Amino acid sequence: MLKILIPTIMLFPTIWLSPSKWVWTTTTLQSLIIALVSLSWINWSSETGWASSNLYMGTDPLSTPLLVLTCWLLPLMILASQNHIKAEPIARQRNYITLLASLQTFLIMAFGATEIIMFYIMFEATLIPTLIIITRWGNQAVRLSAGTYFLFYTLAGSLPLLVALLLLHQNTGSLSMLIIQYSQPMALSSWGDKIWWAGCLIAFLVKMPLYGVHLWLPKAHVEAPVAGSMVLATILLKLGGYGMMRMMLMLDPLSKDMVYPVIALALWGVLMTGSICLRQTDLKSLIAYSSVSHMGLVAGGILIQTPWGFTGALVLMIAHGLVSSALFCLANTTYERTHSRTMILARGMQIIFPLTAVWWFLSNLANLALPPLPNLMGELVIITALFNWSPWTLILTGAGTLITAAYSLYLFLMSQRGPLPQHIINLQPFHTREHLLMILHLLPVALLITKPEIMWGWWY
Amino acid sequence: MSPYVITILLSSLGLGTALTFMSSHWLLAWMGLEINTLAILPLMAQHHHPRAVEATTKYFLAQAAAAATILFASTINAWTTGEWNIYCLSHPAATILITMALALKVGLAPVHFWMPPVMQGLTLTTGLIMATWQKLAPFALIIQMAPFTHPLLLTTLGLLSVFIGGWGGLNQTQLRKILAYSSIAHLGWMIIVTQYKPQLTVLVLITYIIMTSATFLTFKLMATTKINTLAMSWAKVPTITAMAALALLSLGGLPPLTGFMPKWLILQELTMQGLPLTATMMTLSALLSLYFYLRLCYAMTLTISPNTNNSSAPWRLQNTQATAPLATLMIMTLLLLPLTPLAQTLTN
Amino acid sequence: MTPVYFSFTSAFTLGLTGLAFHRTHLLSALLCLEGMMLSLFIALALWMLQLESTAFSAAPILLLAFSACEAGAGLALLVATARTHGTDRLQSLNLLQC
Repeated sequence: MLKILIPTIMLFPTIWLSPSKWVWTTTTLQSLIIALVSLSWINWSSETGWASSNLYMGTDPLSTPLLVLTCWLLPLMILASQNHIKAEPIARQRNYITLLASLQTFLIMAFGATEIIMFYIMFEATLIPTLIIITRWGNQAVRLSAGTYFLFYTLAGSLPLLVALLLLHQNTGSLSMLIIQYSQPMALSSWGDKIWWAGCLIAFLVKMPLYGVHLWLPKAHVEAPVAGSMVLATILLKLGGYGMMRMMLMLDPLSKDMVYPVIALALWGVLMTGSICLRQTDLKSLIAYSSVSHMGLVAGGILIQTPWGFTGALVLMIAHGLVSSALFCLANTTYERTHSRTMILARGMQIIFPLTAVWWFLSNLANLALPPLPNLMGELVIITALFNWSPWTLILTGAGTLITAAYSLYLFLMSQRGPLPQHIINLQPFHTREHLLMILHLLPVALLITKPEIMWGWWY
Repeated sequence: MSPYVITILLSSLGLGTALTFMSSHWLLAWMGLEINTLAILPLMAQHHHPRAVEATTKYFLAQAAAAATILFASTINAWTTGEWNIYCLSHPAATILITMALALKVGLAPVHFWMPPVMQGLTLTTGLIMATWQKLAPFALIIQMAPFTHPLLLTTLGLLSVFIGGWGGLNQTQLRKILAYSSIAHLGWMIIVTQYKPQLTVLVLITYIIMTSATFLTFKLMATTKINTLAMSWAKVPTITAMAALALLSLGGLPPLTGFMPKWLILQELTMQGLPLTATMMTLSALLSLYFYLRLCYAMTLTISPNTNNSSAPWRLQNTQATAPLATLMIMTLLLLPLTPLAQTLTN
Repeated sequence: MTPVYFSFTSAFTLGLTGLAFHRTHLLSALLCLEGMMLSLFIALALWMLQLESTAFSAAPILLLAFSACEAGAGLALLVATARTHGTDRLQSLNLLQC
């Protein structure tokens, strides 16, 4: 654990002490090296399920893929935000990279924590850097309300979680993830216990986000700069899923009856947010709603609590993280050239940027779960698990898949095909940096399917 | 004001508080409180500005009435039990009266109305003394009193304070009033746990004093008293402005900053006492306060240039304030959370 | 409840009620405060006499001294408000209202 954490913390001196010419290069390089070293976590040799260097930090098959994803994302974020931060004074550039690096530090500690309270604190600690990224470097005045929404939705869900966790601590005497799954299942029956159950999950459902409490997400995505959108879509939403998987183990006897409304809402949300995507005009908003739709499926997979459900949820989280981040990067490249997120103002891009159109095509196909990609694997496993749980869910999940395909095609057609608008003149060509960025997003997606065991979680 | 007078006033301010700390006799405790009040009055009114005089008058009336009530209640107690010792308070009416009078002295919720106007009329330095030092003596008495008081009274005071502190600050544009409401909210957190674990009250008091001193000193350095002029602080002291936003979030109690530590420990204590509902209400009330801290952050740091500014640029004078205390306090405001195990050991 | 107890309690309560509800003028508020302090003086003095505790005999005088200081501070504030606001009506102290 420390072999990743200490280099990550050493990013701060790198950021502030390297000469201004080399800031971006050195930080990208160092974070890339960290990401490559973090791949060694995947090499799994532990027999107990946990590989921990000490009592407080450890990895297990559930957290490893997410940890590697976190480390992988930092160089990509730095690469992606180079262009629009370059114009600012050097101190602010350093500040910005510091925020990104601190976010990674907190996230590593969150996923690596073996104590639930520690996880909770780090879960909350990611709020401040993200808030600053959104509200300081966002583009429009609405970013302030987006930041408020982001902070208050999350906190309103997660402050009751703190009380719920403290109650759990009082009951079981320990909150260590290493042993809490072996503790006696609690006898939960009263109304108070049901409220406690809800308190344990609502924070993660808001973070996920579940349909109904998702309003903060499109706002935050639309207003955030590209790195903010990337980290939100890739990791922060997955914090919710990860936390839910950890908590579900402890909530057992009560969950069987309590999850119905939540599953119904999640699956209904897949349909609803998919339909919302179909009539979006705003590029980033569409991608954001598509995230909500996919995360609804993930929530459903987690809540039915079967091994397949968990596996599918984890696979879909990883795959969706990479793909939606790629889509946000692409959206940002368009935004940096046309300075508009409205899709109708930037049509027919295929004619002028053919290679980029390939990237758009590939990421859209990945987003709609084309066969060999892990997205399909995740969705298929979740749909199968849900079908096994209740055949009627196939109506919702099937329609959801159809709508996903429809809006992905819509996104591709609206942005890449069609006539080129008259006002599109004098666009700067694509940088090699941006192509590299897309390769670094899509290559892992393609490679993961060759060895999906590494993101199957506990069961392989 | 001449430095000799200031020295005398400040030392009697300290003397009053120390007297209250050390006394076990109600009369002496009362004397300490009176000396304390009498010493701060000239400090408050030293600039003969209508606002300062008005604030002093309001403060004087509230404090004098509270002090008289404390003495009256302890006299009642002495008439029925013949005992002046602070630890021997047994008359029920006297306990309630004294608790309410002390609540009036520090500015807890149902009797908090003097607090925002008084803070508004003071300079930032005096306001700092008012928000920190002046709380110590009454809280020393409250902590000694708490075991004899009815739990419902303290819980009601605490919950009302956190909600009114959060709610009242939402509508303010004046920094000192916002800080007064934030003080009321923090007092609520302190009073709610007094009966269960008085050490935690002291811990909250200490962290609150650290955080609020950092905030006051920052505002003093920037010479701002309104949200509007906060927007120009970036041009004056960029690093401190960036830190100050975090200090405000720390006051709001966001992890991983210091402000989360007292809240966490209090919630833990409340759940251990079997009061999860109270704990949940306290946490949700923290959201109310957080909203206005967040607004301050927006105005100060997150909407800085190149955006348009709607306040005129102020004069930039050479800064003569010593910054070493501010630096120390700021570091403590931001980074004390990892010391929570130490705090827990000390408060057990 | 002895008559003495009753009398000083009601005197104090009257003073407090006056301070709380009838404060048109700062001077009347100060008078109420003074009344409260004097009732306390009587209470302390009678308590001392009743219990014949000579060790406590300085207490009423100390109380009186402090209340005199307080009254002095109050009168000084009366002068100050009269100079800054032109009146001693408490209603006119409204510069700092929320």
